[in-house]
Amino acid sequence: MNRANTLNIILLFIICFLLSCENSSYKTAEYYNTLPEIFPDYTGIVLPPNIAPINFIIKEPGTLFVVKFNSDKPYGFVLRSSVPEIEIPIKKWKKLVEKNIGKTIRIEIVVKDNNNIWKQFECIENRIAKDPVDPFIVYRRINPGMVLWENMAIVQRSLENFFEQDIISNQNTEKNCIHCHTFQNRDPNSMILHMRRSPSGTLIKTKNKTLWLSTKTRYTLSSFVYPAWHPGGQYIAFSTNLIHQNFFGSGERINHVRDDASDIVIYDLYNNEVFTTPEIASKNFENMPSWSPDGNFLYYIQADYKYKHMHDSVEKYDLLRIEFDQENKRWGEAEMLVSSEKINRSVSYPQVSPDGKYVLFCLADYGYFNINNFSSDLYILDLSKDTLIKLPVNSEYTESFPSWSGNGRWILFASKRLDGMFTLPFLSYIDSTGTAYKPFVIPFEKPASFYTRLTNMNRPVFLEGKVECTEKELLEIAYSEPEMVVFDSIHVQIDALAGATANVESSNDESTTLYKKN
Amino acid sequence: MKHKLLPNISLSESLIDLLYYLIFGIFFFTIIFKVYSPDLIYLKLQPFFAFDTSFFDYYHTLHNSNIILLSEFFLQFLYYPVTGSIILSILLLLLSFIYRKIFKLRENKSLKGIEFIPALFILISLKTYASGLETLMLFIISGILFVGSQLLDKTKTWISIAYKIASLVAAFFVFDLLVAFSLMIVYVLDAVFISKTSKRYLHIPILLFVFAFLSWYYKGLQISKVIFYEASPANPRILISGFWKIIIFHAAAVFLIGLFSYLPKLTSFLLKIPLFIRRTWMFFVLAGLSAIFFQTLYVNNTRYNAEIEYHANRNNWKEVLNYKDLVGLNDRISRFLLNQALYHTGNMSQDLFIVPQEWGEHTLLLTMIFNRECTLQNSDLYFNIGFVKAAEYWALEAQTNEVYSPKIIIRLATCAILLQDFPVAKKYLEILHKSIIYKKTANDLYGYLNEDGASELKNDLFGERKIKYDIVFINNHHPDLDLIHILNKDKNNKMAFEYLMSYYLLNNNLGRFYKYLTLYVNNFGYKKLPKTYQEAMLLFYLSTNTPAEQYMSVIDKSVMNRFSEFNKTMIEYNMNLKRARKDLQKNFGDTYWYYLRYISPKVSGTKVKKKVI
Repeated sequence: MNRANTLNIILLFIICFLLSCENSSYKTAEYYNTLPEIFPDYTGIVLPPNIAPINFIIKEPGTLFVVKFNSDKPYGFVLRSSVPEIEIPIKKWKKLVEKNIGKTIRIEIVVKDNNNIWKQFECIENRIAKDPVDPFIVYRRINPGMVLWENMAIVQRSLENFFEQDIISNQNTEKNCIHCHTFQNRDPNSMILHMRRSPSGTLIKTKNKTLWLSTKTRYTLSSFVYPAWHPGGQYIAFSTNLIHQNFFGSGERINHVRDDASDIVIYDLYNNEVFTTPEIASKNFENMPSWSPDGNFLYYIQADYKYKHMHDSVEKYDLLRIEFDQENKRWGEAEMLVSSEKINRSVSYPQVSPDGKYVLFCLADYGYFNINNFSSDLYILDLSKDTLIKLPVNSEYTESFPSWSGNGRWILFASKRLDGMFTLPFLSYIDSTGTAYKPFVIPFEKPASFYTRLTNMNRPVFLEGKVECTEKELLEIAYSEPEMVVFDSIHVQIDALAGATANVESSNDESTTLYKKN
Repeated sequence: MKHKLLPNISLSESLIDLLYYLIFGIFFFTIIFKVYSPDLIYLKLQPFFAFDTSFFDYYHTLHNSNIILLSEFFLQFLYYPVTGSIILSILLLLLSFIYRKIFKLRENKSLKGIEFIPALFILISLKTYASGLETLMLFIISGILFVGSQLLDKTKTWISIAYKIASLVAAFFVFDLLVAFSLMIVYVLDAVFISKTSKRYLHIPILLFVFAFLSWYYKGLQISKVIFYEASPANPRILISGFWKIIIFHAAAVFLIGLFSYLPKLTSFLLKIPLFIRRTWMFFVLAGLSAIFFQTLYVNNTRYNAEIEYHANRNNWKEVLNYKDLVGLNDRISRFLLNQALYHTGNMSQDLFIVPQEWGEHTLLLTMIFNRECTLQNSDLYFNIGFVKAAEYWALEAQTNEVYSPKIIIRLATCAILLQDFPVAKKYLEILHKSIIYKKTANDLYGYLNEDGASELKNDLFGERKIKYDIVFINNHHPDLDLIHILNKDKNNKMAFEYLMSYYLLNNNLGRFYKYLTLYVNNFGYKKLPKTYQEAMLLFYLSTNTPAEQYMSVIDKSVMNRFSEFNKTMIEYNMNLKRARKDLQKNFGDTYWYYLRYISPKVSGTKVKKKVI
């Protein structure tokens, strides 16, 4: 053995010795019986088996960070980092999660502090649910301005990795306003978008049809606003609203959105026809339609007409539903489910669970458009037991825009809990008994971006797949000539604030009976 | 080579070139530093650059994102005027050097100096204080890629083609479709105009294929939509679509390149001109251009607007007032700031009408007739009044247009601290901290991120004044009501008082002016009623038939005499307002009476158009 080889061996020995010293000192860390502070808070949560890696930042001060991922299964891995941002390799994460579906994974964090002492914290335990979450969400990226805007987009984001893509950006539509993205049953191939200013209209896209509509008729208050797509596909419920907003001069809130009038109408996709019924288009404020999964009921909120002449920030909405006969376009009687007067809170964003058992909605002090209302919390109504439960997912800030995953096991909602100003999507597992588990923010590839992101991720909704249609296709539609919708003024006669005619002669057709105002 | 005029001196080409570059460098620096002023450019453009993922992600939602990022990176150094000016000058020289290579000026000696023309045009564009360095970046990058291919053209054709393809792909993926587009056109026309052998025409079909492939692949790419959809019926000023605009714009530039390179005969006669004259012709061009610069800059409304904002930003309110006769009718921001200057110089109550008030109250307080440009100025106004919540609201609206404007972020952070919204304040400070320029500002403000710190900041900025009012909703339709509320809670808020009085005067509302004047005027220690208020009060007393003895102690004799003169002048012209105007303007143009007769939008017929949002 020559001298060079001898030196190499000695050097190798020294390196191994040093490494082992490093390891052994890490392994003899002092144990702290507290959970480590990490951001976002991914401790004690239930995760979907198909979720992207939950990258996080260790908030404990230190110079070296060791994070061990393991479980009862013989697979785990260790990450070492000199910076507190922990980015979990996606393959390793996926493997760990796949091996532990229905079980618990553990995250052990060891930190070398500024005094060179290793500290080991209490193990973080997260359960992996058996039920996957829908793979995509769609949200609206927008600045926190209330009246003015410049840059916004409807964006799709994968929950299984960090893929994100603009479906359509207003940078390509002369910076108009694009809003109210809605999908039928989370189907990425069916989409509704509204556009305001130029180009202006409602875009409806299905597998077989593409419509670009001008939806303001002389019988309706406004163009279509909040949509809800019937599960059968033929009908879409829309609200029509005369909206104004005010801006708070004190307190925590920024703005309050209020309707001067609102109704609900139904758009028949196959016949390009708009119809309604007196129950949902009266002088009261009907709003925020939502269908039951079987399409037999239309859920909606309603505020009494008495609020019309009251000052802002007192109006309260009830939760109602009305039966709808899809075959014959007949309506039943409206049924009160939650009375705002009884509970002294206001309902908004009702969403029925896929199994039809629960209604998820927001309750706030007042109003309905409550993304900036800190009093807005998520509640669930058990339809079989008629019990109202406050979900344990709320914070001191806003919770709003709730929605259900396709399997009914996950809820997605928007919250401003991280800083009080910017909206982010949160997930929470909800089991078959309606029990909700600790919510967590959707993972980001770079967790530090939470600290500096200056746009909202508004109105997140689940999607069961990726939206494949291109922005170019959507733009070509938006720049075409819109088709006017037709209001069924023959069969519909209502004395409503909607402006629908009240003096039309009724026909002898039996199908018109239910449309007549009592 | 010996020179006729300087026979004993031998000057090498490189030394002369160096001298050229030095002279132009000094010229660029002088224009930017002394003529444009880096402070003004910085103030108007509000560049910001942060080493942060969210920052990059946001810009990638915009067209030409990487070009804009490069522009922001270099512009931020204008925060340090000398450094920033040097950097910009170097970039302009770099552009010139690249064009020297593109024009192959080593071979075309007669045209040396022409390479500075693109840089001069870029320099001219900066005088608007509205354009950044995007065009400069675009041409530098395209030029570097193009020059590279030109160098390789001298080697093997297949290497040159491979380089061109690689540079197109790089331009496309790394920068923007716009850069790739420009480059594409340059390469194609290069092959057409400059090719000397038949083999080089292979470039055209290969490059066209590459471009077609990339366009197909990027069918969802946002940038391509600019090209295909920029024209719209709503904007008839865009007569041609974006696609063709780019083609024509770049084709013209490339045609020039080809012309100079492809037509040596055009330049050959120039070689007969003596070298000394050829070398110095650019100096005469420069002198002429300099004269144009100076001529146009000093009568430039954009410049005045920038200077007014600059002085207002530094609270040099007296300087702001110097511009009162220079602002255009539609320059709402400047008029807004002039009114603020009136207050801060103590002239608002005394001489409200020495500044032009054709907009009435709409350049005093921002109302529902929204103008995006004034949102930040309105935030400033409310901040100075002490209505911090309103200042925050207006800053949020301003931010929709300039998300990373440092001034807006600092305003939002400050408001959040004062309102004790510490989590969101921290977010804004985190962003500032990621910037080279604002790290220190962020560090300073971090110290206030607690209740005690917030109180300390409040005391530093506002002293004993209140900053929180239990106003339920900000009243954009009737901002006077908010001012009244503020005065009810803070009786010593002089700014709120003078703005309220001015609002009613400009709104022709003498009744409310009188009511609130009598309620609050004694709180502010005026030795006597200010002149403008006296003029208004005189009218009020006369219109309500108040006996003279009741107001003689309030209204100065000089004001009453002046009013008599005003009426006399009107009578001389038989109450013919049109004929009397010139005389009245000359002698009474600074009075409320003249405003009421001629200037107020309610009498002048000036319509303040509501901007469609």
